Amino acid sequence: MKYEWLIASRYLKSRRKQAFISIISIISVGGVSLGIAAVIIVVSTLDGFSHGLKEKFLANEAHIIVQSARGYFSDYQDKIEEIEALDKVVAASPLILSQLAVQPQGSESIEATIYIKAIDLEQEDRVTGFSDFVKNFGAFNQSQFINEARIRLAGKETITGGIVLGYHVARKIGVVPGDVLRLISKMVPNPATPGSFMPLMRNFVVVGLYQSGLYIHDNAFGFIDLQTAQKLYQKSDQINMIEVRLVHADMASTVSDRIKQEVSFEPGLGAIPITTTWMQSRSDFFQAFELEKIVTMIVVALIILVAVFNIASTLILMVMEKTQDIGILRAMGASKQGIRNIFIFQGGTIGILGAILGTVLGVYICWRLEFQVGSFPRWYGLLILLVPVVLQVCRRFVSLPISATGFLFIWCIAAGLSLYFIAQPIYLDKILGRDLSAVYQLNRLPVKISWGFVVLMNLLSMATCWLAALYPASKASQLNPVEALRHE
Amino acid sequence: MNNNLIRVGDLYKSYYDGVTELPVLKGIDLEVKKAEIVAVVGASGVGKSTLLHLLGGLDRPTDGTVLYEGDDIFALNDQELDRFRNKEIGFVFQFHYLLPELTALENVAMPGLIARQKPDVAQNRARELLDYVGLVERLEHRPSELSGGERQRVAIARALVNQPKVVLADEPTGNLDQKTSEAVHDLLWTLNAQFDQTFIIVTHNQTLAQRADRLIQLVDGQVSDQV
Ligand SMILES: Nc1ncnc2c1ncn2[C@@H]1O[C@H](COP(=O)(O)OP(=O)(O)O)[C@@H](O)[C@H]1O
Ligand SMILES: [Mg+2]
Repeated sequence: MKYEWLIASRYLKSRRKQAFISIISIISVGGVSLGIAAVIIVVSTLDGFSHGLKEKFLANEAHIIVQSARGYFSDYQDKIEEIEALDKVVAASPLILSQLAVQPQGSESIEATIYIKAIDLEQEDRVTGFSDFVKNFGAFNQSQFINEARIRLAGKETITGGIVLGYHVARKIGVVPGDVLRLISKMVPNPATPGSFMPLMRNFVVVGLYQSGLYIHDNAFGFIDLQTAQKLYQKSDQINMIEVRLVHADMASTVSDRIKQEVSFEPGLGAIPITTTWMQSRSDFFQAFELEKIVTMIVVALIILVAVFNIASTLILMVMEKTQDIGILRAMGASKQGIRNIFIFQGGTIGILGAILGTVLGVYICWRLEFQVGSFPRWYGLLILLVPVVLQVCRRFVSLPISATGFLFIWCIAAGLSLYFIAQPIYLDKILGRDLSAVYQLNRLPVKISWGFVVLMNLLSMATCWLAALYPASKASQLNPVEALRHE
Repeated sequence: MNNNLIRVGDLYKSYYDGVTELPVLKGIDLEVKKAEIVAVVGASGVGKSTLLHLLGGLDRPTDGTVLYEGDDIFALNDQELDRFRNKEIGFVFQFHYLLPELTALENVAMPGLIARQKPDVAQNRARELLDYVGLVERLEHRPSELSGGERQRVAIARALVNQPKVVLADEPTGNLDQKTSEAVHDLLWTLNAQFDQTFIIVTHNQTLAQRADRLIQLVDGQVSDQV
């Protein structure tokens, strides 16, 4: 072992007369670990939260929307085949998106306007998994509800087809499956009274409720069959959008560029498709999230900075305390570099120990937050901490057959168990209240550890610990040995 | 150039206290032969320690030369001077300056470790010397667990571990009682006889001064008397 290591490690462990130095080194290591653990936990929960939201968003949303500059376009099955032939594309589906006014039957007025997605059920399922979000649903235009409505309204009204309503849309306008809904597709001149208009209306029976769990979807859309819609809008064999699902959401921008190159509409201006990726349509949201993550990270990283200052002051104290040692080592022929190494090794050891402990602590707590293993009251954790505390107090009065190492072991086990109970999955509805958790539709706070970040944090904190040791170490190496040996 | 080990030529050392210059050594000339035991005496504050530090290359003089076997040690750069101290000089001070966190054995092995010897080589050598100074029972003891005389003997063993040409001792028994002092003196003479090492000892102790091969008296920054 190099003499620098020998001395550095003894200084760190130093107990007897300078007992407070070893306590200070424990505090220094603890500071670094706490900082690292906090950064890992905070960033992992924020990451988990945004990741969970992204999953939710993308579960029922296309990754790319393809449109034509001219609005409606025909020959869409060819385009879909072209898109599906591209690499990394799972499926593409036709869509007509329009906004219609709705009038529930029995209501005198137009209650709301909603976005109506006219879809081909089979193709849509492959892109957005539509049917998975509608309970007891077979097809738009074949349903027990439609048959019942036809019987009920026989002779009075005709039923055009079935509609699936977003769960919150249905609640908002007050309809339940089986009810009839009037869709007003457009206003046409009224031949009876010239100068006024009359609505073009069709009756649809509510055949199911779409419940994706995402409020912004469930509160906006109604779904009808594509061919029914084409007839209703008088756009036979035309659509205005193609939805695309990819192998992985992150490939959206690359594939969207490819679509622009490979697929084209009628020659002339506007032949290049207009594509919108999920990142573009949700950019504001996710950017806000990223920003928040960075700000939080900086704040938490300040803990590490404090820990690093702590190391610097510990080492400065140490240098002052060890002036004579430095003097005699220099007299024995130790070089300035050797003296500097002694203190840099100490800073480095504190940094590395702190980083390892902090990473273990942070990852352990993240793991506890992620997986529900049984359900215990959190105060169990405090109860368990009482065990070593009581033992420690007892030791003052009676001699226990436990060594110092034994006590360390007991403390570690108790702390681990205690954290096991204290750190448990966090349920959002308990913190935010039912309504907000409904908006996010994440009832449990998800945690996602990004290992690259953990490694980066470790390297960064070790580097800053090293930097913190530089100043005291170079002070120590500059000490004049003659003066260092003069005192006493 | 006969058998002079050390030649000090016209050595000056001043301390600067901000603006004023405090001259301490004012032109020292002296020679020390190999295997000699030289005692340096003089009033307190006359510059004995300063001279010893310069002889050991722990500090640099304001002017003048210190030649070891004809080579000027202050022509060396800092790293070379470190290596010179490590290999050729053993320091013993009034205070033992043992590292409190290390055992006696580790303390004595330290100069060997600094010379980048393998730990077991350095420790074997340290064990030999501790055996020699009569502390073989105390290898694993910390300085705080040793008596004053024992600590000083450990410090002497440490000074000798790299077989230096010269041992520079600055009042090595200044903190010890009469009886312990004499034991330490005996040890120095035995070592000198055994290893042919040169000793330069600063002392106030009359018996030690009498016993030395030669006596150098410093007065007002100069050598006033050589016996
Ligand atoms: N670093 C220093 N700065 C200023 N003055 C010093 C310094 N070191 C020693 N001196 C002065 O030099 C003189 C000689 O000191 P020293 O060599 O320790 O004397 P001695 O060992 O003979 O008692 C004293 O007057 C002391 O105050
Ligand atoms: Mg002195």
